[in-house]
Amino acid sequence: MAILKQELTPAVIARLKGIDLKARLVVEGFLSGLHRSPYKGFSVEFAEYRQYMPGDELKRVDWRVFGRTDRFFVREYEEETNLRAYLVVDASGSMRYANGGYTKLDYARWLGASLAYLLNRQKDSTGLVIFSDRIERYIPPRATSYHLRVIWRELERVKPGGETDVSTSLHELAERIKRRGLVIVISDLWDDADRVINALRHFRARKHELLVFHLFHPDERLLDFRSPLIFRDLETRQEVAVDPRLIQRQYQVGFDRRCERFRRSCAEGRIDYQLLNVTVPFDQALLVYLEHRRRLG
Amino acid sequence: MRFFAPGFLWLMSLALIPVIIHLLSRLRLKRQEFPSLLLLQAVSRERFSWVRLKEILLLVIRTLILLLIPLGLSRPYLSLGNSRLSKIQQALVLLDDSYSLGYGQRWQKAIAVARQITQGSIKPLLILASEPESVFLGQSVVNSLLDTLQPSSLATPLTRVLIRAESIVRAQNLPIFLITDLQKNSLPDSDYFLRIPNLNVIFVGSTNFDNAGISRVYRHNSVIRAEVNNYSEKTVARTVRLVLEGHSAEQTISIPPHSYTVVDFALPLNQPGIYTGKVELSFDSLFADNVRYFVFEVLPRITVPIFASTEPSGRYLEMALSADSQFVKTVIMNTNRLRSIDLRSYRLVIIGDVGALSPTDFDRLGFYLNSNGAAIFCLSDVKTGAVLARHLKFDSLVQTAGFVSPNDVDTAHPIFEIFQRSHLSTVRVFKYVRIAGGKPLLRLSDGHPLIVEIPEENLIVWTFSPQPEYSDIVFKAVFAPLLHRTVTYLARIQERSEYTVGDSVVITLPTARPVILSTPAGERTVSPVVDQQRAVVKITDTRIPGIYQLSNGEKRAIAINPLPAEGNLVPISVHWLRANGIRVQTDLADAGTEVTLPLFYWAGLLLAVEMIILGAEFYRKMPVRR
Repeated sequence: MAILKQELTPAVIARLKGIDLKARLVVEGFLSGLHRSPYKGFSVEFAEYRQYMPGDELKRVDWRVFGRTDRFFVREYEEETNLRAYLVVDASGSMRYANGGYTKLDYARWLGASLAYLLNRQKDSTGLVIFSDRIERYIPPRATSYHLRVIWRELERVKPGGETDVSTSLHELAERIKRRGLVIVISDLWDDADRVINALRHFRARKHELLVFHLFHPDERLLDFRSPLIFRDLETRQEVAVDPRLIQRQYQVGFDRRCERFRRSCAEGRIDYQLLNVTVPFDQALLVYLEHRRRLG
Repeated sequence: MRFFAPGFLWLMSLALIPVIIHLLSRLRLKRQEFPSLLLLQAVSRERFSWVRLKEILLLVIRTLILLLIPLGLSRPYLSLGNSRLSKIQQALVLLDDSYSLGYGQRWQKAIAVARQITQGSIKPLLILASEPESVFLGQSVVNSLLDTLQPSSLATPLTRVLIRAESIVRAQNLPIFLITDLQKNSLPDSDYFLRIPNLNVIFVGSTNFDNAGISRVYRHNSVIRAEVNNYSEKTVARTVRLVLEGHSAEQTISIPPHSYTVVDFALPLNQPGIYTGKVELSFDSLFADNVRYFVFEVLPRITVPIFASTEPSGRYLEMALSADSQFVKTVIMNTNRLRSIDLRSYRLVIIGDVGALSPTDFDRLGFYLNSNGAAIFCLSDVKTGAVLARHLKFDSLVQTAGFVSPNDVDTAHPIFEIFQRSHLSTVRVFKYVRIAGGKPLLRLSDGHPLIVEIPEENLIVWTFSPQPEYSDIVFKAVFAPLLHRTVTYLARIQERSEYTVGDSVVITLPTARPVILSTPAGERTVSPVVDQQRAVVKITDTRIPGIYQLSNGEKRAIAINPLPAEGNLVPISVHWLRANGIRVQTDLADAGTEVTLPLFYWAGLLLAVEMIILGAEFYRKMPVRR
């Protein structure tokens, strides 16, 4: 399994068939590597007994122990929560970018599927939102395994297209989700930075927990092209003729500055922000999620 | 604007190449899909102005370079076109094409003026100073000549062309236009000008110039010596470079005004053989006198027989030459042996006491001298009235009252160039033979020659015998160097190795077989002709300076150089000419100026700007990795 885990790069995952298989392999491979992990108990596992306290539900009393010891003890399971998680996946045209075998959207769907699987294992309710310039699909959160398959199927079906209007879609979503929950945004955030930050803060204002996975392809960061080119925007189809070698330095500085701005603004708004290179395995993203989940208790 | 070489103008169409490449490169750009242009546009907007400006700048620079170079090659000149010169109906144009016209813009001015005068004429007449026999007639002939003409390497005096012009205008009554730099050295007696009718002088020179030139290159002991003249009125700095058989050396010198500086290059030529090379001067405007070619012959050790009937005369000669044993091997023989040995196997012979020779010996020596031999004759008691080799007549033996000393020495002669009069004035001569004929090199205080040269026979005659009873010179310090220089001079003057441009050169060869002649213009085979039982090659086309070499088993070479005096650009007084009624035009502002050089300067400047831009771009395009 450890070997399997080492081989589970996005490029390898891309060659597997079926999103359910991909999600399972990613998550199982990931979890099997967590030896002596602080994250134990993220399954339906018995944790400990404690003495009954007034107010505890009677159904949680372990009657067998009462029969043996004549005392009331309550069984506790660490995984038991009331978390409602929303996977918010960007399916705009810019997510179609691929300089290899798979697109940024592919990476987003595999990450979403894996997170859904992980959430479902914990019996958390998981919903799915797919958006581009508007909300394309909204599946409310549920914790059943049937629901997990629905999410997987939706993720498998999703196709890129349309312009990104991250801020408008997120504002709309923030208004739509009534009950507090965990919102996991998987997007390349190609929109006006101020508006995106405002939209993310909107979720916080509605008391939601927020985890942002900012996806990027190395080409987007390095602009490492060796000859003058006409660049065509995947969303707007606009074109611009540029010699990348002449602006490479300024572009890289600009990109890093933009990411740093997201990071700082998210930190100020107590939003977990993670910049994710789409060529690296999913472990980093899953660890970030687990860390976030642990804090939620 | 007119052009001297309009044939190059079509090359200006090459300027379209960068424009086409620019357009094609725009069309050939590949398309690359990119997630968002949000950041890319913001960054490229910042850089846009510079990138666009750079592209346009490079396009303009490249186009301009490709316009300027063909334009420069077509040699444009600017002319107002309404000058008095362009309205002349018929005239005889005399063009001074001596090499001094190559200084600065003189030649371009001269050509521009010649064009203006001839363009207005129906049947223009043009004569070049270097070829006064040829008259170029007609518009197309004159135009094509002016298109290709360059200053010659000659230092032609203007006398011949003026005589020729005078004979033409006397019959046709045409005005003469002499286009010249009025160089003092090339002009005839100034009064001659005044006699030529209808003479108009167009002065293309100036009194202000800074020219230096190499006037002489020669061997002096173990160094090669070059004399560099500064003809101008201010101190000039020049770099002098010696190039000799693949080796080179250079020195930078400063020469005071109207003076010369001697530059020594210590490059000993140890091995026997013929060495060819040149001495060059850098950073000087007049090219022709900046290079001087030379040929030096290092002789193998030679055997010199000394014929003497008495022991002392031969002994002093042998002792004096023993100091030179590296170069000369001496053999003392009795005069009687002259009849039994073949003198032609020796390059040089010394006759210690000519008084002991018989008439037959004189005949044999005369034949030997006619066969390229050389000799030093030391006269002892010779028979009065004897004639040697048609040129020299012995008179009588003179016994002086006490002694006489030399007091007149030809220090310009190669034998005596290291001596001063004081070196020789202490020599006492007690007895000598009076002779008539030859060229005296050293005279006694009584006016009679002590040493005489017969150049036609390669013969140096000492009118005394090297014995104490004739002179105490054998005890003096000058004796050994005098004998040494006489021997080396005679051994070397077998062939002259330096000539002036335009000279006819006659070279004697051992056989009449065809030989290959290499000249700066190329190689060709020449067949010697037999003249007076000698095979000779006559080279007449020596208009280009350089090394001319004959290969026929052994190497024979001569150096052809321009006359150094032409480098002195001092003109005669324009005021004097005007005062004597000659029309002299000096203001050539309307005659036109060739603008070739500024065009090339601009092209060079633009090229430098392009290099800077490309260098900066290369630096910017260096890959950045994070």
